[in-house]
Amino acid sequence: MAVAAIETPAPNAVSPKRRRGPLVGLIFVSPALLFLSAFMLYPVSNLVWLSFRDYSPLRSAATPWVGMVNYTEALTNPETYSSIWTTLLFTLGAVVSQMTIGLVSAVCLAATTFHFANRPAAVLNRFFAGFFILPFAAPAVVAAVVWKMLLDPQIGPVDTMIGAPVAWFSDYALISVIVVDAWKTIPFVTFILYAAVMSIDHAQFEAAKLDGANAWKEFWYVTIPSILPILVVTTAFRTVDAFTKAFDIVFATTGGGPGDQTMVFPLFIWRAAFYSLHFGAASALAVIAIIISGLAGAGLLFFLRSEQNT
Amino acid sequence: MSLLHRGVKPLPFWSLVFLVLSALAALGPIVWMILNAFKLDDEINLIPPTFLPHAFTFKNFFQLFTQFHFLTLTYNSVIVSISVVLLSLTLGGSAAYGFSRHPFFGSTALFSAVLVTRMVTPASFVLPLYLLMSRLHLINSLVALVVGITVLNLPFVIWILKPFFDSLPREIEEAAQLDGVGPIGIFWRFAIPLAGPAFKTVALFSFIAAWTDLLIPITMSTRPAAWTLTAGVVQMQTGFKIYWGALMAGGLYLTLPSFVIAIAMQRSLTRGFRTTF
Repeated sequence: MAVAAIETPAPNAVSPKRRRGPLVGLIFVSPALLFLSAFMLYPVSNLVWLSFRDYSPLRSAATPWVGMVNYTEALTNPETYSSIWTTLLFTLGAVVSQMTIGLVSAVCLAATTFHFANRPAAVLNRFFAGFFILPFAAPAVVAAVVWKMLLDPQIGPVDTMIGAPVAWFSDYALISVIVVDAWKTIPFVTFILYAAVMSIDHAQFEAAKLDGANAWKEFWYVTIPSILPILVVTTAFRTVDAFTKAFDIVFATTGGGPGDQTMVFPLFIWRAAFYSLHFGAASALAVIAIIISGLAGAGLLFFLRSEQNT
Repeated sequence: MSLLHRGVKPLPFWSLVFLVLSALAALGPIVWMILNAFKLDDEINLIPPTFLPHAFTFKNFFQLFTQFHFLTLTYNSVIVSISVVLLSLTLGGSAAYGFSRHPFFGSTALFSAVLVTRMVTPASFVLPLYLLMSRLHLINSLVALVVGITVLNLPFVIWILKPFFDSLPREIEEAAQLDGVGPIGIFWRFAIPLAGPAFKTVALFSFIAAWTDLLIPITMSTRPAAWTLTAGVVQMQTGFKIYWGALMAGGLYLTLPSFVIAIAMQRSLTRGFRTTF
């Protein structure tokens, strides 16, 4: 879930004191560890094992050793690269549109807050926040089916308004999917960046004003530098999330099509497993995804830690 | 906030115009869903589309229960979501406390490893999990759904709760320790009540995560009897004919609990965002 993205470990946790030796800690941690070992670690080791086997349950229950064949096939298959490319395009489109519009919304929200000082601002903000929270709260699946109806070439109101029957999810499939994802995620970005803008020290704006800065300069030389760390962290999290978790909306709108135009990588793996029933080949793809996303995730964590220690 | 009292006024007019437009964009699709949930399919198929329902009807909602198994799906979703919340809080709460208060050799590395799993493509976990569940004969059972969703949710829970425990004052626990209360007693009687608000937030997030999860039910369940509402709504549009009215009614039905929770949480949500940075 997107919210998970932003909650980062507290910067300066009270320095832990070792009091009762290692056993107590293990007692508290072990239930979760056992659970994750049984249902994540063990299955993933099984996945690695399977990725060196030929296993197509429809054909045979046998799982003969095939060495690197699944990997060489995955890495020579043009569909793998086209899927990764599609995912990158999706990620780029989603992150750029969400960060841009989210930032503008946040700054506008802050501007009205400043302008209509105090009570009216509080009412107005609650009013807008109440609207913005709805897409944020709507399940991805619901966002998908509603937009499928909105953009339907026969009964959809969007095509009626523009007066042309455009089959959005066929002719502009990737863009349509990005729009749905943006609609659902922009409010979340807005909330975070709004909180960041509101926490900027007022003296900085005063100083800018004394220097004769206009609104644009204020935005560029005060607002942006002040919220830059949060902007960077949010962008990084959104990028990892968009790349690894693009599934629900695509599954529920285009199913990866038309052709493979919206075949994002998570869906590509899932279909290799549960649509084509090539468990061996799907395992190799899943292992590749775990390596890519694990490295990206570890890099992100490392980046966060160094960011917090400076 | 002193900012509010001074007169900083960058472009309030255009800001307001932009905000009104974005609010309309945010609201429009939701309004469309609600309006069409109460229209008959004949009216939905009219060209051009009508805005307000001409003949207001509850037929779509009845159809959900008569044709699309929504009674079973609702039962499944409620049971699965509540189980996920309980399991996530029990396992995640105690693990986060252990990581925070009783670090041991390698616990930092272990904590980081748990965090990294949150960033890994969830779709890559479901194939081996499916095979494990099928070996345990748990395909098409709610147990598989609870386990699967909890696996994906648990790292998030630990991630959120550990900093909360870090930020709790240690004095109370240290006093209790001097009084001879054991570590588990301290956790149960002092740490959990103190972390109450954090537990509440995590419980609500976990509930929404379970309630809206699609990946696990479409993988682990092949029959409507073991689907959740999310899977049910997606499957409604795979048929030969799409019942748009029923689909919108189903979407509205699926969304209502999330809306209620989100609106109830609105204040703590924005405050939470503010404090995490």
